[in-house]
Amino acid sequence: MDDKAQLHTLEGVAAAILITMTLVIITQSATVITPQHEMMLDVQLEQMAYDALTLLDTAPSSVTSTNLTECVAGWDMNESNIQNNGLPSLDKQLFLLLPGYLYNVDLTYVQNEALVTKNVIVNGDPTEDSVIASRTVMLTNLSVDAAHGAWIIASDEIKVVEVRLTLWQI
Amino acid sequence: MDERGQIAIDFLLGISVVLIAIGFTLQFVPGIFISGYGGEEKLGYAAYRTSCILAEDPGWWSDNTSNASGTEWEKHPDKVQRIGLAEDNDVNSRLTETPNTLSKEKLIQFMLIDEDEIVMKLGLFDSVEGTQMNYRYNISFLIDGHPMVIDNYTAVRGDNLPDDSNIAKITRIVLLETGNVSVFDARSLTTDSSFSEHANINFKGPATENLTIQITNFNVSGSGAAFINATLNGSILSASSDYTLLKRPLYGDFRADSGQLLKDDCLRISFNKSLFTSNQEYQIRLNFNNVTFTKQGPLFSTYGDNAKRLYETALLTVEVW
Repeated sequence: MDDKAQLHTLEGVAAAILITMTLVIITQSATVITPQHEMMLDVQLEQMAYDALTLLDTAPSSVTSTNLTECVAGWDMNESNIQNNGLPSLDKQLFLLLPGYLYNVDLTYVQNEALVTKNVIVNGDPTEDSVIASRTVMLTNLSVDAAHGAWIIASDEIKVVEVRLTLWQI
Repeated sequence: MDERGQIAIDFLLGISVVLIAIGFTLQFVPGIFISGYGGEEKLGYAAYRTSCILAEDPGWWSDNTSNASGTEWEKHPDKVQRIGLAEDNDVNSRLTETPNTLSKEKLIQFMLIDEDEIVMKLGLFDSVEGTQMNYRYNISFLIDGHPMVIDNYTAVRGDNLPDDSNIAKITRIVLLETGNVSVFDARSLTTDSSFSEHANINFKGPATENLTIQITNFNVSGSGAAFINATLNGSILSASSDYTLLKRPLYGDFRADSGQLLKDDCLRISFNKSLFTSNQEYQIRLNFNNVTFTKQGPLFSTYGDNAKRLYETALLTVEVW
């Protein structure tokens, strides 16, 4: 009787069981690891950023002490870094609206026929999956004077400034 | 030599390659073995759509017989076409200029409306081979993590969250109308004689909502300036049962704080509406220490002159499963 190769069959069965078990364990744990689709998390983050800017812009004065336009109008025109916050009023309100998130804020506007982008709130380097929301505000000579800002705007001129909020989560 | 029982080197190699290939596939194609994956994406769309309609749209009603329509569906809840909660100044505009600012009347009607109506009007269902399958959902308005209570309605609709199924969730930051507020500049508040340390505010009863008085720009006359107490028609009110006191520093949020008052602080005092039930003139007196008021009455400041809607920041969460 030729009894070679018999144990090879049993090893094959054992290996097959091993593979099946591995597959079952991996598929079951994979469902737990991804409870929500990655796209939904991005949508959520971007929506929070837009909501925060919208609220700061449209909220009545009984809710916010200074709205988005007033905050931007009061800027001292000095570029910020991580130690030196350019818009403390905006920073404090964003901090209340977006607890647990990190954010940077840039202002973009046209000066001497060139597009200028300046950092006003810097909390660090954004991660790869950060999102950007933006909202435009309109400044006039009157609004700058009222907020004691350093913008130089002629009395018959309006300045459109884009407020860009970069938001991320760690 | 007995050669049985040895693992062939070819077999070992083969099985390793297969295992590595399977591991690689699972690692780099997420969700490949998750059943109902497409369904989960649909839940995400439903949650996102619902949150957008509720937060950004004022809603719409129309009546086919009279051809009347508008965004003030809270006044015609049985003829609602679209359920939206955003406040709207122009009822014929179809759009609102204040997205994310939610109206109290609309919110109360939203709490009262029929379950089937919500599912149909917000599209919280899916058609599977012609049969309607309703999603289950939870729509909550949270402040500091707890559902808000507005006029005895807890601002939650839908079912309790399940422990064991995939939930699609969207959170929106909104402003919620919670009552009314009368905003005063302390420099124009009235008092009995100039430079007194109290302010008088009149109110014509009865009250349908709590009275909230908000004051800024204090004329602080010395160190240790503070709010002491409030009286109503001469009798002292109790600080917890009759009114609540909140203070907001310049660039901050309202907190319960009875400490030192600064010039730029904003004081918010909410009086219980049960204090003002009869049809008569009430006078609220606010007593301070080292804060003076200069404008002499009568005529005294009245609550109704400055009354506006009061809004609070809240989170709207829509969860669908």
